Amino acid sequence: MAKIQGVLEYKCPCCGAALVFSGKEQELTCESCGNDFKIDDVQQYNDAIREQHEDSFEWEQSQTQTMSDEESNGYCTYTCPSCGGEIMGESVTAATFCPYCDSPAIIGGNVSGALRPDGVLPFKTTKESAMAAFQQLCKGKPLLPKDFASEARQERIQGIYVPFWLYNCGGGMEGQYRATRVRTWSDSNYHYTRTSYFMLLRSASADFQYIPMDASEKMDNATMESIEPFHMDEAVGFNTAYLSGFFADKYDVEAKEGEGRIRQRVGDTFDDMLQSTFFGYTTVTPTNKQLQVRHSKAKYMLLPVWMLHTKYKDKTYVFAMNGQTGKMTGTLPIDKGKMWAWFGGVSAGVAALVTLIQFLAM
Amino acid sequence: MKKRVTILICIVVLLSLTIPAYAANVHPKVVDQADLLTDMEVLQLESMAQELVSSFDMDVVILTVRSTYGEDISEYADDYYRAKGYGIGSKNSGVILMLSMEDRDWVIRTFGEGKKAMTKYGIDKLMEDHVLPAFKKDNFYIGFLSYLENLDAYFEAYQRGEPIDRPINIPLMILISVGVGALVGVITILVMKSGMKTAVYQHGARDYMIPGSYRVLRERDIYLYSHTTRVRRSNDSGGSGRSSGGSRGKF
Repeated sequence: MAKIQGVLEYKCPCCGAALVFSGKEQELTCESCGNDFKIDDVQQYNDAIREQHEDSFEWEQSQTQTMSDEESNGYCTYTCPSCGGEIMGESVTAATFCPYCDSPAIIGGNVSGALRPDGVLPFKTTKESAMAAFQQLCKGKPLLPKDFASEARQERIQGIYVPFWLYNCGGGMEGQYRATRVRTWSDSNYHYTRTSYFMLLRSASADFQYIPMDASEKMDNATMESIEPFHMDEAVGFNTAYLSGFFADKYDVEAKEGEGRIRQRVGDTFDDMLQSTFFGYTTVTPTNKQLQVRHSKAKYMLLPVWMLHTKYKDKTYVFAMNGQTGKMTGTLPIDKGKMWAWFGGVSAGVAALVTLIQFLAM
Repeated sequence: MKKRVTILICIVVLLSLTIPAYAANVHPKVVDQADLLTDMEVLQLESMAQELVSSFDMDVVILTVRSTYGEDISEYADDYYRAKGYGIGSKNSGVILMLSMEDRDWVIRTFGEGKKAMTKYGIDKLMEDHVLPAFKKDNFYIGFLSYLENLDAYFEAYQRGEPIDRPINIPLMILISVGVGALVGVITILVMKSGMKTAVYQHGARDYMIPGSYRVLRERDIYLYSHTTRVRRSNDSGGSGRSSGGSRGKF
């Protein structure tokens, strides 16, 4: 039996076209008539409309039964309230676009009740700025194939709210280290080396908040970490209105699964901070380290990310931009020919220089 | 008449005998305190040395001692050369060969232009090939003779502009150039490649640490023990950094 899911959308009170959330204005914008609306205002408008139309577009039941196979693979169908077309989406989809009429469609059921996020960090950057950031990333890369930047279909950049777990925790680390201090001196007959051995004891504590870990199976964890940091002071209470005009997914990775990585990051931070407490030693080697991390319940939030999947010579390259800060990362293809050319050029140049130096030193 | 001629001849002979002695007293080139040579041998070597001095504007000194009494032989030779005022020209150019019989050490110190005429390579080759074999058998006169004869060749080569020195090792030079070139090339490529992949894990969680919450609870450094090792210094064998050059060894 196909799933019953409600599909929301936000319509412009003026012209009835679809409203999308604008990162620049931090409001809902109508792309047709150009008006901006505060989220609260539109919410009230929608509620009023819903009261009038009891049999509203909230509950549209899909009738197809052949979808049961897909459903078991994590897919469901929804019906678009605008055009009535069937939207096939993943079970995790919380916001998407109707493939027929391109209206933003929000699957309310995936972000309500137990699945309701604790908050959302709205988009602060625009698609144009994301496209510009991509071009910037491609600049100054000597090994990049010439045609990559122009051939990449950067207009395909998508704004996605990626589900994240944000961990608050208190950490404490106790460490024992073996350290040496080496002194050398000479007199007229000998060179002396004196090695002194020490045991160092250190213990430190600190608290952390909002350490992010992406809660989406399909999102690459390294990519999501690479666009950090996210500044959670700009997060707001969740409202489906923010999702309008963007893609969004609900979480499919449990909070517990991220605890290992969080622990590792906290431990690394303590290692770094304690480095500055070692003065004047030649070598410092840890002999024993104990790390304690006390978690409080992880918060579930949707964070803004611009994503671009682009194909070049039959390989897919993924780029991600932090929708709040604009930081962009990704993996660029390497032109082997250019690489060898640079290697050859630099090697030859240096070899010539070294030969010259050797001649002059004779 | 015959008596007068005889007296005249005696006077001339006597006078001619004093001349080398006179020259030796003022600036003796061969000083044999270890008594390795006969007087005749000393005279012979002295005149050979004098010839070299006047031909090449390079002072040539040979010194033998029984012992340096604890002083380092290189320093002894340097001090002797300078104290006695050897050296030709403003740079005090010259070469001194010194033998110390106590430990059978030899040393050659070079000064001024002598440094360029006698490279370490040149000195070692000269001693190894032409001088040390004789010294080892206690044939000191033969050794010194050979030394002075070869000095002639060295000075001459230097005057020509081709001082006797290590031959150019082309294969080694090429190896070094290619090796360094390849290394720098690899490093450059690796740096460029790393800039192409920016989707990497973060290190630590410093950005998320609550400011002011970091506290160092315990900080103790405990001293355990020490040990000291020493390595004997190898003394200066090239006079690098000082205004003289040379080489040394044993016979």
